[in-house]
Amino acid sequence: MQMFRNHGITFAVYPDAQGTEKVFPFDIIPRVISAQTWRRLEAGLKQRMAALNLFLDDVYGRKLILRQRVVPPEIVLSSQQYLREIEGLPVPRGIHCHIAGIDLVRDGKGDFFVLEDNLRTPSGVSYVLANRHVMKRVLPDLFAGYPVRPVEGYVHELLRHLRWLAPEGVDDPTIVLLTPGINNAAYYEHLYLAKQMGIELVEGTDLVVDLDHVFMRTTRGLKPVHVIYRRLDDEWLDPIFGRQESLVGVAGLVNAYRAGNVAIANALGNGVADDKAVYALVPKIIRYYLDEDPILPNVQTYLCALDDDRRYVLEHIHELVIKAVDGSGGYGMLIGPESTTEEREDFRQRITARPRSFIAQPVVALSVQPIFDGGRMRRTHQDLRPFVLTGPEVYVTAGGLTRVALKDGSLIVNSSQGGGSRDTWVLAEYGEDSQDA
Amino acid sequence: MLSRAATSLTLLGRHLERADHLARILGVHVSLSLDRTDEPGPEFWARFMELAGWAGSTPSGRAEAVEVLITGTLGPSVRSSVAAARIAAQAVRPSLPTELYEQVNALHWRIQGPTWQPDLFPFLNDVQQSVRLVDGLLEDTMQHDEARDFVRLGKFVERTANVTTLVTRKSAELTEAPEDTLEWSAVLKSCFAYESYQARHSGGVTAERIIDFLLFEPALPRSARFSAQIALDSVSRIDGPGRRSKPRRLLSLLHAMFNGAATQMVAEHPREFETECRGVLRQLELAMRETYFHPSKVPANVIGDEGRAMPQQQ
Repeated sequence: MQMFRNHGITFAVYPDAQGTEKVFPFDIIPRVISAQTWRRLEAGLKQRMAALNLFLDDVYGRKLILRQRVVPPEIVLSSQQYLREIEGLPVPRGIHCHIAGIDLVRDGKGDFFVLEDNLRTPSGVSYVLANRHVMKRVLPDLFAGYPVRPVEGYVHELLRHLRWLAPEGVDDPTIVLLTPGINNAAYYEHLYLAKQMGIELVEGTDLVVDLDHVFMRTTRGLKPVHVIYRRLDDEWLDPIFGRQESLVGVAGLVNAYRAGNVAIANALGNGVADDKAVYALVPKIIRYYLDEDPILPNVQTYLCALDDDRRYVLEHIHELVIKAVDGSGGYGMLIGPESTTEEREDFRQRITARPRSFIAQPVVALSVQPIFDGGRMRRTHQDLRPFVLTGPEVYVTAGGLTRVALKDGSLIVNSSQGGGSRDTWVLAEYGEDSQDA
Repeated sequence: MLSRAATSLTLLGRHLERADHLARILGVHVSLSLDRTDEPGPEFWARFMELAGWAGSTPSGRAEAVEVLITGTLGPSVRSSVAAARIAAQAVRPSLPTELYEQVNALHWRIQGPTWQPDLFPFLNDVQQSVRLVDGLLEDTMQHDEARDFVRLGKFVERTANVTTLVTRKSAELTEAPEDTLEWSAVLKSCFAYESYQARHSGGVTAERIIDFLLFEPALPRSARFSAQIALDSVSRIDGPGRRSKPRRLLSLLHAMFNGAATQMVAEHPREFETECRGVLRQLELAMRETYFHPSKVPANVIGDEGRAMPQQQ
């Protein structure tokens, strides 16, 4: 833990008054995934991202999938994350989601499911790299016995993907990472990635837009910027386009983007595809665009906006997990079996009042793995967030971020709610006989 | 380099230098007050406060002056300067060696408590030693590039201003009378220059020699001339060959003022000299802001003349 603190590998927890800089808890027992299992996961992730990118292109373009009512348009178009303003706007190289983090869980039988898609500003990749760095230092001998696939290549791939997005005619693009600033929960990650890629870490006030071109203020005057890896949500990106009170955005940025003078990764409006209600439709989306069955199944999901589903949810609320469609970080959810009568009643009323805002899923009997806690071992739940880059090629991190629930029996692994993480080992092909953990 | 980073690096240099200077003059003046047979009255401390940047402040005595200068928040104090340096360092963590940031951070937390109350001198010593350590880290662990030059620019412009203020104010206040000898020695000590002055001038402490030594000596790292020279060197490197920016021109002017000014003229008209220097320093601040910190001129090769054509506004 001391090693993490010294390196400043921290995570901010907003409601915690003392804690704008907490060390992200780390468990030394790695999670091991066999080559065979990983092959399937990787194929499933690539398939999912291909379909979601086609979906985004379609819903902001011709809307075929909606017009043919393969998925209910009222669910998709009523998403708070759907940006009508960018309809018909071409995105650089036709790709909407360049950087995605897909949350996977495993049930007691060992099957992987997709729990959530993060297609806007997924975070956590720096912890994947930091965890491996620490593991190699703390337990170097352990690596000798296993053919563990490296995770180092991510930063180079990310930079290559960002360079590829440069506007036409720009051979040596200036790329920046746009952060909301040092008080953001993931600032450490922004700092880490910018340093590793050798690009400037900029805040909104560092950028200025003039005649639809973006510049950064440097000591040698204004310097043109061609690609922005933004770690800011759509609504904060540009006070003219989104929230007027945004002090972290750049006025005029969206117009520069519209004019094709700057590429922004990820593109705007991706939130519609990772809306938790639209998540329930992803298997249909995959079948529609790719004409394939989904390799990775979803967790069964009930959409409260649909009458039949809602009726079922209200009757079985005590056995389901209820999630707000726009919630994240483990906030705004109800775990039925662990809830009180009052909490269930409260959610029942909220679902009835705003059915589009909620989904429900059965409680997944998450797989468990031992954790080393104060000198003893105990069981803990965990999930996995691999990162997928879509660009000149599709790149999937070997493994991803394994988050663990640190509280005894808890199902919530989110770092903002005190979850921790561990290194994830994907074994190379010749290690196939080993068991997954 | 990003303008925001340049701003913060300059502020880091400036505020650490200020913390060091305040700790130094406070220690020297408290020591001076203890050396006197009579307890100095409020006037002594009012003059000291004005020198430290608290014009109009009238502390009742030593204890209050010490407290304000260490903990005050409405003007320059040791704590507020270190806090400002830490905020600046936080904003440019990508440009700083980790150890350097940690030193500034650690110093900030160390001086938060009331540790100065029982032991003032070790406390002030700790602040000065810590600033020295940061200086060392800057020279020894940081790349000698633009980032370092901006820290040095902030530091040495601040030092030029501080030394000039100290020397000219004291010249206006003190006489050559023997009773002021102790105060003149304190001026030298405030600039770490007492021993080197003694080594240079065996004939005792005289006002003119001190003015000459502290303002115009090219080899004394605390002299105004030396500081202006380092600031000018930093700006010259930042600009690179072929660019003669406004800050560079103004620093050349400032350096020339310490190069050519007659000691006697300063001794006779210290206030005028101070006003003149302050005028140049103020212009320099504005020029640095325009040139490095808030540039607004769009390069012509990006948009071109055609793109610049805008409808006339009424």
